[in-house]
Amino acid sequence: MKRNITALLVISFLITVQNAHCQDKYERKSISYINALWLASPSARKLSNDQVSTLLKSVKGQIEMERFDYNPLPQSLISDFVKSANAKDSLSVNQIADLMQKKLTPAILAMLKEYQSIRGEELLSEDKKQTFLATKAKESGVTLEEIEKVMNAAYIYLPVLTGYQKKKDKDTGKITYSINGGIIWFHVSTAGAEPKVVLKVSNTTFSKGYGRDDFAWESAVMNFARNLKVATQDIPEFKLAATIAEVENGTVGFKMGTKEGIHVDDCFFVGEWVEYPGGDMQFDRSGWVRIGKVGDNKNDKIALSTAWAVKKDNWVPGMVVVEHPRLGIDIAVKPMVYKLEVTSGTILMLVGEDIRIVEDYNEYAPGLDLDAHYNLGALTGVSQLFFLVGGNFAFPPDLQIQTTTFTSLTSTPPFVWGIHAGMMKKHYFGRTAVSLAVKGGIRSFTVKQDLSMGSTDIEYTISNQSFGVQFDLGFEYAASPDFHIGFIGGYRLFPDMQVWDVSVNQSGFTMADVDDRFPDVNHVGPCFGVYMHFTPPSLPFDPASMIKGAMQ
Amino acid sequence: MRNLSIIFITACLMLFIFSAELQASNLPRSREGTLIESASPTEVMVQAGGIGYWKKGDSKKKDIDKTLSKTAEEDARRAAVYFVLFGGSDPLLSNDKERKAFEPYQEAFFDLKNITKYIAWEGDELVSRVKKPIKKNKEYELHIQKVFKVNKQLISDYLNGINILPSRATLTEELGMPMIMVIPVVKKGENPIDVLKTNANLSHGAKAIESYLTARQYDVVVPEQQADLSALTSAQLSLKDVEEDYSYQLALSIGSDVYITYEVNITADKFNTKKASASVRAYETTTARLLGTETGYSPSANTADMVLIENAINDAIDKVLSRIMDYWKEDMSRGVQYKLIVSLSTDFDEDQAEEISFVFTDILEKVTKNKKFKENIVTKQTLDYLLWCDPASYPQTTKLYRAIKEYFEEDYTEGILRKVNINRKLVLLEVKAE
Repeated sequence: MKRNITALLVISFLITVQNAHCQDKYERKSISYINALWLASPSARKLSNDQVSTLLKSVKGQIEMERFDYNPLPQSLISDFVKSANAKDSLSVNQIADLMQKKLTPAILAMLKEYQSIRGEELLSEDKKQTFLATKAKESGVTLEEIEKVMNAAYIYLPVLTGYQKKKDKDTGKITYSINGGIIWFHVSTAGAEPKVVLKVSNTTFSKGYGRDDFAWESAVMNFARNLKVATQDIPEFKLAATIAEVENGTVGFKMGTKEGIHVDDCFFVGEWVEYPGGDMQFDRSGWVRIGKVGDNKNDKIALSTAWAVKKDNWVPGMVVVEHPRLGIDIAVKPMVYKLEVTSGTILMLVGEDIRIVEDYNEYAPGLDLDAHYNLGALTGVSQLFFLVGGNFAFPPDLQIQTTTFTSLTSTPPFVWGIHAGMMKKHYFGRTAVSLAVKGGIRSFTVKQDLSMGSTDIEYTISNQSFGVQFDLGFEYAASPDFHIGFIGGYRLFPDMQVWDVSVNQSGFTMADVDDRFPDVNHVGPCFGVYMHFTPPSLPFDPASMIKGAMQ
Repeated sequence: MRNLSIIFITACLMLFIFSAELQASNLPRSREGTLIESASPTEVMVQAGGIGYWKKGDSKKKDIDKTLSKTAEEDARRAAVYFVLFGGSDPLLSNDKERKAFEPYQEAFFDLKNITKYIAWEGDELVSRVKKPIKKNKEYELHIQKVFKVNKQLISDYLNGINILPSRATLTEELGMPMIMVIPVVKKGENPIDVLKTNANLSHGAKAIESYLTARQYDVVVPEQQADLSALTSAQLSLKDVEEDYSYQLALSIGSDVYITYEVNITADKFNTKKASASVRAYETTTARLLGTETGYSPSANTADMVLIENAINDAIDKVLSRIMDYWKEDMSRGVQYKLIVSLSTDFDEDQAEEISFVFTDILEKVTKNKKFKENIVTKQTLDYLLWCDPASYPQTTKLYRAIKEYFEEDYTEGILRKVNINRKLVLLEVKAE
């Protein structure tokens, strides 16, 4: 199966089934993992063994979250299952489920029986602990109710790959990997007379990686696994939920913490069950919170985690918090104007007349910053601290230039681009937030010329490089947990460095402006604009890896 | 002017009457309750429902949820106590008379400050919570379920204090608390005392019942030694239609007011768990009349057998006990009950035996309270009666025996009355020819 399983109609099955119902309290689930990847299409079957291993390792690393208990299956059983699966020419998802039922269920149930006391005890409610079993007999014991919960909370997951593509860039030699696939979850149900394995849900995702071969593959796989992690967290059965135990000054406290693997800044919706006339039951959300302090309930069973309200309502104990899983990466689009000074001068071109800037330019150039904000709350424990990485593009529209028709047809007008990285700290006041960011990087005032001479394609680039920093102050409004909009103002310190980089078909050199022919380019000055940021549940690629891959 | 005054006074009166009527009742809106278990001899675990209510004007709109939650929790507390008083199969107020008597007190009793006294523990999490909009932004209800541990004994003491339930002191003064014998059910031919010594589960069951009853200040007897039943057995055996019942005979010979028989079973359940069941029956000693029977269950669990047995026994005994007390309260009004068995010597002919039975009828009319006695069986050799005597006149059985003897000597001269065995419940006598 690891390499050879053929599949039918996988894609038709890969439809996520979302249960609209939320639960009031998350109860731990036991999961078993088959160390095999279902290669479900001819393109997927082109994967090497090493690539399969990397992918399996990454998926396992992301999916094995603290909210689950693990039932490691013996390798001999998995091998037996894989052998049986490979013995068939083609398999549907239901046939896989039947095979699991025969080959794996007895071992999973045996393991659950072994752990049932420990896991069942964790499920005992405070009410149960108050009853006779614990108070009079001083011996808690685990009741059938809890054991049934343990036995019915077993899931098996199987990673599946439905598409795979590898592309090599002729000019740079860099690789782009594209992978499609997901996870199929099966539930081991012990509710009936006989244990039964049934298809529960399938999650799919798409991911890309770019850069050197190994780096590109790892990047694609990591992003793929991370997307699947969020998709798994979003499955109703696996979604963390708890009842609010206390409400105080805009914060709520609830019984959940390190044991469930929650982190600083994780987002939870707050709501309650409402029965409308006619008997319709609905979970009504009334706001959302972000985790401020994670309770250490591994060591202290009654430890509470606290979360601060973003969209606040008149919450009371007994209402429910439900996880809103996200990647922890915000994509921010910031249309802005940037102060730019360009003095008159000449930009050398490879072919044709040079470009002459005839008048000094000292205006605001429109453009945008496109940033990815990586929330560092989980790593540092500091709330709303972000690592940001991104790019910048600006175009000075009123720049007075003089050149020939040939040059203007083969080259771009001067434009500014750049990349940067930095840190950002945000502080919320209800739904509004103030952010302060500092980012360092390069700004490049560039002209590109593309032309063909005979059968040779020529790409000529000349750019003025400047290194510096930018300080941003933002004021934003959280329209939803996933969409913020705001104003931004900043100051850029990218001074004129009198250095021009020239490259012809990737080969380049640097020249200093010794005779002052070139224009002086100065990016020092204010910038301001609006910005929007989105918090997606998945991304087709990891922005930081993509930039790193491009710079390799 | 006079008419106006009448209208004004009438209006004031109506306002006064209706304002009292409109005053919110302290009784719970929700009457939902489920007994989870008897947590201890004095406490019960109850899952109770609470209905919170908010209507426009009750509080600011931003405080809708606070008001709903607060009122729902308060209502659930009241409902938990209400359940102990009125709900389930064995409420504290078990008949109309008691419920009627409680009515004047209930508003004050269900005052929240008072109710909290009876809540020994309250779950910190809700079992369920559902909001119900009745009219959007104008009227809402919040339905919750929560678990409470209610101190049943404290409520019972309160009811004793206001003379709705007879207090233990009253009972003790007049009749004393019933003496209860506890014995396991055994197979025919087996001796329960021997079984108690050899069967650990049954022995533990007896201890669980004993512990439960003594915690409620009952006199409990678990027979541990072979009682001498020979005299009783021979007397009983002479009654043709009385079957041999060891428990009954033992209770009679010991003189308990009530005897409890029980059996326990442990069965295997799913996933290597076990479940215990306990059948508990209570009988009136003098007649072997069944007063109450209940089967209790432990939850299925993977814990020790003894724990499960104790759990199952507790589940059953609490319900049976309330039936015993109902019986005891009722019986108290009739007097102290005795079983009188008189064995007649074979020297008497049929006419003499008949004469003796008439004499005993006359004697019993004199010694019983309100001439209350029952003839069970009258044969040539045995007279079997059930009688109720005034405890004030006969505080001890010996005094009753003495009175019977004196009356007999006055009324019948051809025979001598002697005691064979007397105890709290049984007066076993014989009449021999002079």
